[in-house]
Amino acid sequence: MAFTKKDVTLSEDRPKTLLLQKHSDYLASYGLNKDDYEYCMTEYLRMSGIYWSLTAMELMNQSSRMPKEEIIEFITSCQDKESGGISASIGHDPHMLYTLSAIQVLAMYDRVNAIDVEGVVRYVASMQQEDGSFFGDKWGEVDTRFSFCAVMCLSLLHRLDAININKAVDFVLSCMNFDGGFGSKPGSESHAGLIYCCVGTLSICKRMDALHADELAWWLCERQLPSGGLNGRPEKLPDLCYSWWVMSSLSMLNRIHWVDKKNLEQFILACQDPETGGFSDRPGDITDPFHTLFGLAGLSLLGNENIKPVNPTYCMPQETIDRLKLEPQILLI
Amino acid sequence: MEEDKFALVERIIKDIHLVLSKIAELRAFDIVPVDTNIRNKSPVLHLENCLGLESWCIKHVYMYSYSEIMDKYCTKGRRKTFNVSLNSERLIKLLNVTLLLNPELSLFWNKRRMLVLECLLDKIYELHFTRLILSRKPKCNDAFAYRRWLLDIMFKDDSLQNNNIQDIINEELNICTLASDKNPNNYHSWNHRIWFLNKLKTLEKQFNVHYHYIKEYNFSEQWVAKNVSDYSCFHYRQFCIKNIYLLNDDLWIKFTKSVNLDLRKTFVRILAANFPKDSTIQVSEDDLLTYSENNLVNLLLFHSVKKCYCILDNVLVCRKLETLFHELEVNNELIRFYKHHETLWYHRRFIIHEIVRIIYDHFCLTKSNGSLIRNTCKKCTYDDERQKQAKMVRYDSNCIYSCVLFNVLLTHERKFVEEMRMNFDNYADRHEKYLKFVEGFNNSSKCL
Repeated sequence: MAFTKKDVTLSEDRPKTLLLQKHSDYLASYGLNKDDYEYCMTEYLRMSGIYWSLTAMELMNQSSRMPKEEIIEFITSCQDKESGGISASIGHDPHMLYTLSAIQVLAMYDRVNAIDVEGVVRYVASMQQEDGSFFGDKWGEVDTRFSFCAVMCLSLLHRLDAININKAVDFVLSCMNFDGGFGSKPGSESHAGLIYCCVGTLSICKRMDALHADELAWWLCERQLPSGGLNGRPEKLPDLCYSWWVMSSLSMLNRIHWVDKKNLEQFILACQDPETGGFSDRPGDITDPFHTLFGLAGLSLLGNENIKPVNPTYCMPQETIDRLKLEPQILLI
Repeated sequence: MEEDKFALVERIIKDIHLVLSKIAELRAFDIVPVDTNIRNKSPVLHLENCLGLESWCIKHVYMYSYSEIMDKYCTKGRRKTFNVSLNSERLIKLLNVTLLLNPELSLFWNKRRMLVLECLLDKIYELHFTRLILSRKPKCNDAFAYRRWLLDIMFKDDSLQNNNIQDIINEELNICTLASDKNPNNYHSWNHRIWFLNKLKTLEKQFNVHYHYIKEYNFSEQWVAKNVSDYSCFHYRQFCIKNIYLLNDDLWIKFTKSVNLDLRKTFVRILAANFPKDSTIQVSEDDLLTYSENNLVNLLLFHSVKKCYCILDNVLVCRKLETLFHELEVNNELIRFYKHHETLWYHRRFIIHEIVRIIYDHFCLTKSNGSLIRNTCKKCTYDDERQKQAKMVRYDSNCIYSCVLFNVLLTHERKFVEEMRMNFDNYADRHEKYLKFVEGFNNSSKCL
């Protein structure tokens, strides 16, 4: 559909091959200068930053380049003794988002015992509300992202029994819209990122049957634009991270073939920076670890053999999920 | 040299503090791109209700303030015994500066929450402060979340007066409007607006929220017409439409007057223009205008296969249909005028879906996994012989596909898709496919 205006054009001199070594170098040197202004500005999400970098490195089979023991020690010192939750960085407040990132990292390292696991379970369970929803932290903001954080975190710890799963699922389903999509709260607009969180929650809770799969997949594959890239909502620009959120959701729905894989691959590759390494949101923009992970994970879903298989529900290497004997549900057609 | 720098930063913090002392009057904050300190003057600018900060100084100011808060107020171990009141004035000054520069620091918003709980920060001041943050970062969800937290507390306060509530409502809606205007497709500002309206619902004792439903409906109609690429505002529009369903008789009359249109007339005109040709319906548009709601609905949805004796609220069904057909008519005009807008076609899907749902509800059917199944009556939860009836019988689906309303809709959509195809709007083809494969319009013997 050539009439679509909100899209990008891929230039002829764009990267067309996967620059693995560049990405590995980029991530290995990222954030080495800790007095850096940038480093200081992003400290509030440090824990997630570690998860993005480590997962990307794992997928490239380069995780030995990450300072493993230093990371584990950092995570240990980010756990709040009282609540049991984990914060983004030392001195910050515990939050569901960073508790999940920390558990994902420890699960990849097979070192969850480095922290007080019971404390984490207690923290996550304490965030569940009467209606099944989850707070992000003690200040009470509700979002379907936090439901996903809760079930993913507890499933990685094999402690899903600590929360009311049925209620958690009911809350997520109460956020479903007529188009089959999901938003952040009941009645909120459908959004590809939040769809991933909600579908992921149902995948872990093995309730994929509750989805309106055809409506949802229809909406998801309409996110593809002529450039091959995907947007997260109608008439928005394509963004590399949606390659992950849309494609992983479609994978769980078992309908990944509904998008043009070849075009998407071209778009993802074009988001690489051949000089600095790493991926950016759109071709030509500045790269960051967040988009680097989702670029690599997206290519993995598309079947690129130079990258390890990624699990669409957990956004972690499939080998980790297998080692933990987790079986997130995928819809059978 | 270092000491000079610190003195300068202290000066900047003080200057910002001075400007913020008149926070109720401030409307906007921004960083002004100035590469170096050429003028040798304070980089804090205060012009006509606006606060500005020259960009050359932000790194120094940020690093300095951030480090001091982290070292003195957030150190591990000392945190438990830390008494915020000890030096709260200093802390507030530093929090103001750092959050203006980096409003995504949840930790610092939490510090403010603690100060509010200890009555060391005033809630109204905080609302003003977040407005300033949103003027620069209209997508900042931390700022919206903080407002929700503040408003929750304020609404719980019994001493809150009615006229104060009115002020809060005006201010909140105004801030959402500004943020939505500055940033198209602003998920957070529209989400916040929905949250706020729903919040008002819970306060119903003190005033009538339905009046605001009408206001918001009219506001959104104007807004969407000017923002045809912004699906977030169309999503809000859908919320407004569903709120209109909740109006009582008096307010429905007020509502129809406020829209300045004869909704019934629009509805009847579309009906008359799309009646099935082969049918025996020989009613003119003028005749239809004389029909009662009950007669109109009976004509459109004739037989009912209900097994219970609950009386259906045909007046409500008729009002819903009038609202939805008005929406369809507006959507026709927008699509004709603004070609190639996915948003407009997506909104159309909503309208169609709502109309189809009225038909399903009428026949006590529901869609599950792509096929229709028997539903229990919503009013009396009648479930006699439920097991036997779980499977759809052909008779049931025939009710749908042969009812006048379904056929009017089918004809209307067929004509419109054809017209837009001639208009070279490629979304027309996609709409046709969507109706067939997702809304199930192909199950009818009379295909689209």
